[in-house]
Amino acid sequence: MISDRLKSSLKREFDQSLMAKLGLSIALVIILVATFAPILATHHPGQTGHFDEEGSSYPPIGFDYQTHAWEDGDDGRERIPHTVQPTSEHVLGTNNLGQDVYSRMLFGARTSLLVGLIGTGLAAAFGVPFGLVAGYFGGRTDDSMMRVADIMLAFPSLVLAIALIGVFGRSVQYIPDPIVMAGFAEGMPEYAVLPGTVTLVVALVNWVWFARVARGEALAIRNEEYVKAARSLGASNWTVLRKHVLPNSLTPIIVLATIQVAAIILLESSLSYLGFSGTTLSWGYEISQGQDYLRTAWWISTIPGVAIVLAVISINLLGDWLRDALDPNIEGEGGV
Amino acid sequence: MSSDEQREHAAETAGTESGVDTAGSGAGAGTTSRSSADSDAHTTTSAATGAEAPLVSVQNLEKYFWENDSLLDRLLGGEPVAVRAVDGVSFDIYEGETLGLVGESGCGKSTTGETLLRLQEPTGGRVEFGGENVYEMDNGAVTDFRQSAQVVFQDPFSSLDPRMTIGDIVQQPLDIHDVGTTDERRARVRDLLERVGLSTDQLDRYPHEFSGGQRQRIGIARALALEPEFLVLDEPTSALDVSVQAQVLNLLEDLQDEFDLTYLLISHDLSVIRHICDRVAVMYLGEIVEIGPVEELFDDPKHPYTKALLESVPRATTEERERDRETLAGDVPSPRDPPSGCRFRTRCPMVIPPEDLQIEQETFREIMTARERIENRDISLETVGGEQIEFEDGSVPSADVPAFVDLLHERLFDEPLPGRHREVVDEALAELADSDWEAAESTLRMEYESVCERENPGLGEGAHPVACHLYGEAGTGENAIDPDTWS
Ligand code: SF4
Repeated sequence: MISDRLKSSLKREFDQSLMAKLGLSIALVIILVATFAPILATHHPGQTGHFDEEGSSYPPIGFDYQTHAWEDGDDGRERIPHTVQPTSEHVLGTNNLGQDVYSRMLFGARTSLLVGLIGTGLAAAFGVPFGLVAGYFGGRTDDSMMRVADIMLAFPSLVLAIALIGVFGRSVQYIPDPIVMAGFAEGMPEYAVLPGTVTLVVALVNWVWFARVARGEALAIRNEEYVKAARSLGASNWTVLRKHVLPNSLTPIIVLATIQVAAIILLESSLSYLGFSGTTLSWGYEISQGQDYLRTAWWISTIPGVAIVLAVISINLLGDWLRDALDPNIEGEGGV
Repeated sequence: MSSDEQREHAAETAGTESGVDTAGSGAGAGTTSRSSADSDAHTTTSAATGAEAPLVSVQNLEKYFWENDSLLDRLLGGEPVAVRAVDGVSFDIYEGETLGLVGESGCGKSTTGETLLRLQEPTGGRVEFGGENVYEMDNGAVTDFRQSAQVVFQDPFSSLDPRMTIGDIVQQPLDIHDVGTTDERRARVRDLLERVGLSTDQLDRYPHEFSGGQRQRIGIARALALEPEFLVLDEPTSALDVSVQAQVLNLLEDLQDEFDLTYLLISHDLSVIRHICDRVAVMYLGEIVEIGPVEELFDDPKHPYTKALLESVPRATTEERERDRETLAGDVPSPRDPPSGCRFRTRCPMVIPPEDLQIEQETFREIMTARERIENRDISLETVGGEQIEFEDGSVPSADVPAFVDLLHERLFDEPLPGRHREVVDEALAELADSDWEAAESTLRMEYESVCERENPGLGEGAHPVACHLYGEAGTGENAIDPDTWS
């Protein structure tokens, strides 16, 4: 499937583009971190109560902050100034519940990636066949199918997602974590949490994009002479769709899928920020936790925010790289 | 009996052409070697025309495309528009012959080819293949038909899936019809590739690694994989370099002899048609205007359109080219709204004047063209008078009408019309000074209505039918008007 020409064109684009290198590095880091979270984490992400002696959350290394403590004085309890020092135990500090922010970021990356990848996969699995069929058969079939898609697009995706969650309820799936099960990471959660409803819902919200792109490709490909040739040979519509239309429409679908991972991560974060996720191990949820403490404990919200931004930007950079490398117009040929 | 004849013919042609190999022979060599084979093929065909049933029989085939026909258009009350790509064509193709289908691009010849292969459903008419109606076949019969009738496309770049290897492409028909074991299929693919002149160690390459001519050979190998009887060649060489064209045509001829193939060759290129065809059908705007044996048609074209086509073949010298430019004036009308009567009448240099009218043929052509423009509202009246004549609310001040008429006359005709015709035409033009298009139309129609716009001449029967009023009823000679008196 992957020809030498594709490889060389991917490599050429990669060598030429700083952005592609940056995107790929960040994305690789995120993937590694998400995979090996139980090993890399310093604390169980759910464990609470990591406060200093005065009961204050720790700041990240390199920062300290002023707050106050209470002390029994002459006139009863007294407010005295207190400086909270960071500790090497908690490199990114702890949150309002005294949980280790660094460990929570690692496990949050898992949730984001799982929802992003599985959600994109599901969206593509609904959208691509739908779009290919609509585009390939055209006419009335296309008309009625794409009207359905247009109606989906008419709703703001967040509103649609929340409505769907309302319909389906919130459910989560527990996936046994092989690293922990094999005993490589003592004391870490034994299950990874996949917010199932959210994954399904983001796919239901975003499949339309796949349908539209696939339809456009199928519309063009069905008029290619190789499709006519296959039909004149007696190939069934199913064969033509599978053997010719799908393989030849993959390039833009792959590029779209890359960018959709980022879009879905963002949507998942929004949903969990609003409390619709079903798991608390999520960057978006983390932001919502910290928003009351922005003035003093700024890192609780800011660090997951930065994580989201990095993930989304790096994936988009990857998408740009793929698009430039796969673009048939630049290559001068349709084949990959 | 007749099949013996076929075989003999095949052997003979193979003999004459054995020196002409697929590789390296120039166009010249191909053409000369063909001429001896031509007369031979011709006799076979005319024998066939007499008795034998045709292999392919196209009867009144119609393919309209509908525009503005989507759900939304219908909700908004738009009227669907029929694009008459193919509008009632009939012809027969006999076993072993090559029938050429020639015409300008957009005349519906490719649609005819695709529709008769049932790659598109027709809107009317029927096609019989071996006596059976192609559009009423059940699934089993369609499968057989798909094996016996194949197509080679124009564009060797688009006709091969860029993501499949050459081996897979040629093997695809065998896979679809489940022919033989995997090993047998592979072996057959090798045979086929060798037969069309490609080396078999290229099996795993992708189409983009081949030249146009090589790709076309791959397309031909694919079309032959199922041992078909009938091939539609849709402009098989027009995307290729001239030097490669002759090689591919020679290959097609060799294969025809070797495998007893019947061809429908669709082309706009008359030299290709002449090179390879036994009979030719000329198409114009969705209709067939003339069918005849190739030599007869080229030496003695009857239909004015065929004549114009033949005269517009590129010539060697620029001088001749200049002259040829003028033979086919005007654009092809839109198939959405084809002209009434004879479809060629808007461009036909021989368009027939009313019987009792005294007029030069050229003058009549000019008047007909002017009428056409008036009927299409294709004159911008505002600009006729330029600065001098005011044109307001769709009319010209009555004092300026004569000047307006003169200017318009000048614009429509190269030279002022002679005598009475000038009076009649200027009367109509004066009506245009008031933007009264209908009046102008009917004034002119009263005087100049031609039989060519009233009646669509049928094609008729026989060995060389022509659809033109000059040749009277169905080209039989009855009511015929001698074309020479008009030229
Ligand atoms: S019917 Fe009339 S317009 Fe048509 S080709 Fe003949 S002469 Fe010309």
